[in-house]
Amino acid sequence: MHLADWKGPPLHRWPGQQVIAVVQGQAAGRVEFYLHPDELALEVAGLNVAPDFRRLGLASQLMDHLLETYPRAWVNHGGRSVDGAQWWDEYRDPTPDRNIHNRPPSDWATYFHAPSVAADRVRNRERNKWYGLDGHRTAEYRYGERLEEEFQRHASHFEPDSGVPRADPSRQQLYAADIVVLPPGLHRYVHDPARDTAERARVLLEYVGHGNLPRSSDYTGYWNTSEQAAFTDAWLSHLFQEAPCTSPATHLVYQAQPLDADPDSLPQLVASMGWVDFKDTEDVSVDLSGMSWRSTTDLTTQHRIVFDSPVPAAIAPDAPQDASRQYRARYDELGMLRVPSETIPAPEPFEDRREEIMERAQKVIRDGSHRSTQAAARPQPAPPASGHSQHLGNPPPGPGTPDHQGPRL
Amino acid sequence: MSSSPSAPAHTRVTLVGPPEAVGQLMEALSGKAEVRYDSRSDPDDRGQVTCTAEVLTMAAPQEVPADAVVTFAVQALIDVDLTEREDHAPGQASHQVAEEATTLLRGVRGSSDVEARVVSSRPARAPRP
Repeated sequence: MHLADWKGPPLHRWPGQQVIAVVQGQAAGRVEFYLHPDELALEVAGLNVAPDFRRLGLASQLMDHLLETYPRAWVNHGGRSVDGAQWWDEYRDPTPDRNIHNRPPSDWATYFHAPSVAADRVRNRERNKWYGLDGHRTAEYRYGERLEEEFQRHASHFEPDSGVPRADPSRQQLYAADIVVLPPGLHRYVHDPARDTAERARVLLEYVGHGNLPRSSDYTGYWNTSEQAAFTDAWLSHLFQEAPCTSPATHLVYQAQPLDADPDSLPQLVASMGWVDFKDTEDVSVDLSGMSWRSTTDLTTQHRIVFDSPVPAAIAPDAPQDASRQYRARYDELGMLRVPSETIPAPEPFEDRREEIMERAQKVIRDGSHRSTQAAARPQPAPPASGHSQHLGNPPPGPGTPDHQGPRL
Repeated sequence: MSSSPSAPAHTRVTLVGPPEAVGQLMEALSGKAEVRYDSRSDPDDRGQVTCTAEVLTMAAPQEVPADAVVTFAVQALIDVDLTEREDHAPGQASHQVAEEATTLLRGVRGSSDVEARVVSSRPARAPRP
């Protein structure tokens, strides 16, 4: 069982979490919930088990694990689906005293909107009635009675604001994950700690394309307030993919500086408590302040770099026709930089020794000329039996190398 | 789980607006669906109320076998003289009227799971000059 962030509806008053059952590397089921920051209340949002793992008691194990993880929390099980009502009827609630359906609203009404809880209970009762289920009715507070009057009296006690601010891209560094499958040579290179980290980061970014930073998909491409949350996105994406990829992949996390915009002119976005989802169909310019990555074959080893100066990049437009004029000027239709970064002159490392080096070079040329003159006067030696070529070393594989092909997950 | 005959569909309805308008809309809704829950807040600073309701609809008219337990949704109109009651305020009275109607309906032979609710209230007669 694994506890992880859950990117549920972003406007919910509490952050989303989930317990995931992993069986032999496969996601077998999960329970999604919202957790109050004080961890004294949680609201179950969904409980799902993959078809291959049903009728094994996994849903109950997931719920048990959730209740054990937060032993002091009020639990709102919410309204149930048809399958949910059937499951609940067979489930043995280990902590009925924390189930708010079993307690009067005076106990928990600061955490939950009492009239909505009562409406959920009415729905559950109707389902029980229709399908002939008991639904633990004897444990439930005032089961089958009219709840409107009592529960409405407690509506004003509800405190929807938990005090946790929503993510703000104009003030916070944000982190987004992507998963890339690199050609084998490039994969080895970027995960080789003996190689220069800055160079590996440069190669990675050029391979992906500066204008190809991710947009939200099922799991990745959300811009989180922590690096760990972004890596979790990548892990979840891998865990829940329907056709597991046989090649090793790279979890790549981009770190973006706060957007250079006042809050009123930000791109269209939805902000949750721990993440932002850019909804603008147009591209979004960002300045990268760093990157980190790890291989799916070794999730414990992370490579990380903080750039000396911000690297301009962009979240890709939703579709090529949505690209802004600035984006089209800077990136091609594949999101690659039109002007490679190599054309930007690097500072000369030996500038302060220019004169000394020039002097030595002149001496080497003079000496060489002198030796050539002397040698011309002597008979020529036979050429060596085998050639001796200068070892230049292999350049790192990059976008220009022939194996620069590979799907992004 | 079997779904024959078709299971009722549950819909959560939230209405926010002037009390009269919310009342009219809920009344209209009750003509199309079974209102199973109807909770209304007191008017806020702007005079608006919030109504949280749970309504139930059937996909299509269902054939009822003679030996089945049948849910009847009964529309009843009752004129009540509030001056003859202790619960003079209309809000209080509607709750009590629903309670008393439920008690009376429990007298229907073979009945179980009886519930009555006030969907709307209005003056019964034209104002006297």
